Amino acid sequence: MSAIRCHQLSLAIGKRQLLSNISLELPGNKLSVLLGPSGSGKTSFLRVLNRLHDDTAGARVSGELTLSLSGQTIHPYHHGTDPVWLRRRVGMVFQHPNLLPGSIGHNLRLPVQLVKNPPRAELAQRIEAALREAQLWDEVCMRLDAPAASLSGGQQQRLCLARALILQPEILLLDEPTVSLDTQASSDIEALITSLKCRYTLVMVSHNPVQAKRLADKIIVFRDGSLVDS
Amino acid sequence: MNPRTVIERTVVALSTLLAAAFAGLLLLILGFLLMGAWPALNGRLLFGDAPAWPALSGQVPVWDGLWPALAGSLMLVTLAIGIALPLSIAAGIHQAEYARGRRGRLAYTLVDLLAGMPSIVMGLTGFMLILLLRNILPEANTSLLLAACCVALLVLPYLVQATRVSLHQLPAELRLSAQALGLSQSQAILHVYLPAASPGILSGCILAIGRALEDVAVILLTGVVAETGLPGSLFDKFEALPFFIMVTAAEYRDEAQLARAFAAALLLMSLSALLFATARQLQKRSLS
Repeated sequence: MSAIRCHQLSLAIGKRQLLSNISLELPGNKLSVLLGPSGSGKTSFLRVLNRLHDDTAGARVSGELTLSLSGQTIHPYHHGTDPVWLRRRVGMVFQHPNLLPGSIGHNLRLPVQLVKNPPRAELAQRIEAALREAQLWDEVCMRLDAPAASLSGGQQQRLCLARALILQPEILLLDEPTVSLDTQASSDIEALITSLKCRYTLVMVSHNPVQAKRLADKIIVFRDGSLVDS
Repeated sequence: MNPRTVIERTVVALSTLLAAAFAGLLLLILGFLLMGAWPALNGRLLFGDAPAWPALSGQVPVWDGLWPALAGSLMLVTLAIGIALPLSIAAGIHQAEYARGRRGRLAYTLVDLLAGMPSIVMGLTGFMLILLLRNILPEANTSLLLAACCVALLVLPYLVQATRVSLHQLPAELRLSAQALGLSQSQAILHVYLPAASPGILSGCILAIGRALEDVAVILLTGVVAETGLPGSLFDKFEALPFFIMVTAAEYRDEAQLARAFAAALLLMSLSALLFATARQLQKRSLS
């Protein structure tokens, strides 16, 4: 069953056309990899899915996009759809670890308190569960109050993944999550992504065809803002 | 030697020399103040002949000590920053996060205009306000509260600009992160952007404290007097260190009085340094 469908989807920022007539379907609880050279529109497409272009001056999205969330069909760009509500269900991890200033624990506590507001007793359990899911618990359980910036690059990226997972999204967007990591950290993240794909709908950007073939259930190739193959 | 290396070395040497000259100038001013204040630096400086503890709490009036002026300055700055800070942070947030287009530009211009307004005009505004208020409240008079409101108006643009610039300078990645986590704009501002921008806002606060502490023109027309003791309430007149220095330096009758003016200047510098240090500590704590 398709979790993401788009038909003739286009994105322009000012006079620049970034995506042209993208039509595709991405399966639920699978890993779809968006492949293509730099500037081909992969990240732009990813950000269309959770409306991250909304605040960009001059950004215009046209065409149809539907997401399957909680068994319902959601039209992200319809007037009634709240982008904040949408982003709470469509999580995202960026190329470089974008940590919030503060401790490891704060990076997990703040979003979950603001978004889910769980009881105090449940909060610690959620943090532990998210860190275990991101395979980071054993490394940080004794130093949750340490600055998040003190973690290594790979650990920071796994913390960002845990931060996205703690909000229990249904779709997880991964924008080249291994691009800034060394080989060992990359393979750790890849193993983690493989373990997550049966529970979440994953859409990952990559410009590494070998990595895409190794991980993907479906590969979509972008070039110059258009679809080449799927 | 390579001409570029010669230029680089000359620039480095000149910069070092100027930095040293600046530090030397500061030491010279401190030394000059210390020499002038030396005869007055004794146990009577703050409270005169009054006993210390009752004088501190205002039970006993202090006639020939600097305590009322010191306490007055401290109250004035605390009140003024207390009034200006929430207003200016709100205005800075509005300008950085919500104001767009022509209205946004107009708001920027008005705050910049306010920053360039002479302080005597602020004082005059407060004075005119009291004259107008007297039509409704005949008892209305210049006071600590009025002076604090006018000083708050004086420092407001510094704080608005500091908040606005600090928020503008936040990395785009931080904004994207907050949005991608599903935080609403108000949640992102309150819990992510403001804490991240707080070092810049605190730097603006330090500037504002310095400005509020040294200004005489505003308080001259809005409630400061030479010898009134500690203010009993916000609606009383008050003393302040810069005003004491100005009046004493202009009208001193003997060397002992002049020495007290020097001591007051030294005290003003110390108070300023203490407030700066406190703000820096808060800044460090917010960064850790």
